[in-house]
Amino acid sequence: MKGRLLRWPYAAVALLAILALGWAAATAPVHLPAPEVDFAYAGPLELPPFGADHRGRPLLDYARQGAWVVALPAMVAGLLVMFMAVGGGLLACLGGGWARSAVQIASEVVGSLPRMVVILVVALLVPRDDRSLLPMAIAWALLAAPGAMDEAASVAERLGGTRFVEALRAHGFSASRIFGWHVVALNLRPVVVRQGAEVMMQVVFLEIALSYLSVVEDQPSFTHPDSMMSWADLLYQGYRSIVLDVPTTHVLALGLALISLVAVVSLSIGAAARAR
Amino acid sequence: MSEPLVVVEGLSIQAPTRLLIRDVGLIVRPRRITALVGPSGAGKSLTARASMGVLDVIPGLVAGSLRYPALGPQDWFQGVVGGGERAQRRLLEATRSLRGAYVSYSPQAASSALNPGRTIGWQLAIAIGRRVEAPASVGAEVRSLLAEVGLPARAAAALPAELSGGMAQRAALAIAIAPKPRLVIADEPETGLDPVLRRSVIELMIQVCQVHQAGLLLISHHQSTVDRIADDVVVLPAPPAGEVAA
Repeated sequence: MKGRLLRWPYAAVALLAILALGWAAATAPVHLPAPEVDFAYAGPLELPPFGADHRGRPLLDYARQGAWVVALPAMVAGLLVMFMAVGGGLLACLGGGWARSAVQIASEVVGSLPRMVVILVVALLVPRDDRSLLPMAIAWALLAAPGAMDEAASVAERLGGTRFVEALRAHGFSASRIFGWHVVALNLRPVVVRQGAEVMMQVVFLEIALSYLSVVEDQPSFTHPDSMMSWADLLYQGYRSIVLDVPTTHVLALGLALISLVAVVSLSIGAAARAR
Repeated sequence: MSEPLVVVEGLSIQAPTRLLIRDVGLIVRPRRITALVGPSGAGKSLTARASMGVLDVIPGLVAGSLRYPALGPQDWFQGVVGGGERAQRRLLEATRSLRGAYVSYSPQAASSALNPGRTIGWQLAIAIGRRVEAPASVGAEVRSLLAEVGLPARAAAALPAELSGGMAQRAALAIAIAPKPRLVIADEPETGLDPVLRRSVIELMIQVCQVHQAGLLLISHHQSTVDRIADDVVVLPAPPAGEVAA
């Protein structure tokens, strides 16, 4: 009961943050508005809610465009990992010894791959006109999936694997109730949801990292069209407040706040799923 | 004498390469204890599962009959013998309403009977929900069942991992009897317990079955336990050298 009560604050935080990010992505403008020099470097109090950049463009639009860039790919990657982790757990419960070995081997092989190099190869394979984070997010999810499947299978084995299923069957539960409710919803849920949430967060950070490199090198980003801004643009502009003493500290604060928000969402989802 | 609870005759189960069980028969009557004994690999658990309509070996059932005379004259294996996986699945579905209500099963390790992600009280409530007649208060019934197996009421809020081996075994027994079954199948309930605890768990199981007027099919490795408590004994022969059944 205590655990169930603990779940609600985490779930509420995660839900609110997801709704905020979802709203931001859904309402993102296709292009940033024209510069307004009068608002250049405007702080949050001069141009609510977040102020403006060095050319007077609202930072709210940066935040919304950045959310649009990451929202769908991160969600797809998270769901893909969750789906595959559930598969790994169910295989362990069905007693597929060969399947378990295959997952372990895949996990070791994939684990030894240099993940960022694979992502960069995928990025280079995507046609320039179709730049999107989605192919890289899927590749990242596929690289993370064997580990998630292995962990879910370990949980299922600790549960008793086939013996647990046998016991539930002997209690008269149907197959859908056994696998859908007792195995997945009650026992695999914490690890599966945590893995999915972590991958969602990793995909967002991947996008920021790749876009930051592009911004620094003044090159088009692999992850989004030139008309869109990434949260990496906020970080780069904010970084200039440190090294060039330009008054853009509020831009850096917004960039860091958005990164923190993503981390909070991921941790809250994991904690909400873990609470019993 | 009252109608037997379960009658298995001529049970033979085939694995892809060998015969796992050959011509096994057993009868369990109300308020009586039937022990199923035999060496490891003789097919005790397989026989027990088959007597609940659970056949999970392919090609599986090649001969035999399964009746629950207390419920009617139907032979549940009719149409399943030699029918392979599909027929066995049909049987599994047809007998599903009996499992957990008419017959309940306490598996070898208590940890397998208990869901690690849910409290004992929650699991008991689910098992109580399988009764034909719902009790007035599920909470009171949970406390009553826990008391019956010698567990404190606070165990209802505990997760299985928070219980000792003996307590977990008692909780598994409470879950097995919660639906008020007429037949309890206990698959080596003393596994992993020390001799003192083993005796107390067996005594408790007998006492609980007597109180509920249920029949008990006890699978055991321990000849001393069987000699002491069993009314009837079914001995399964050892499998041929090099073969191990489920």
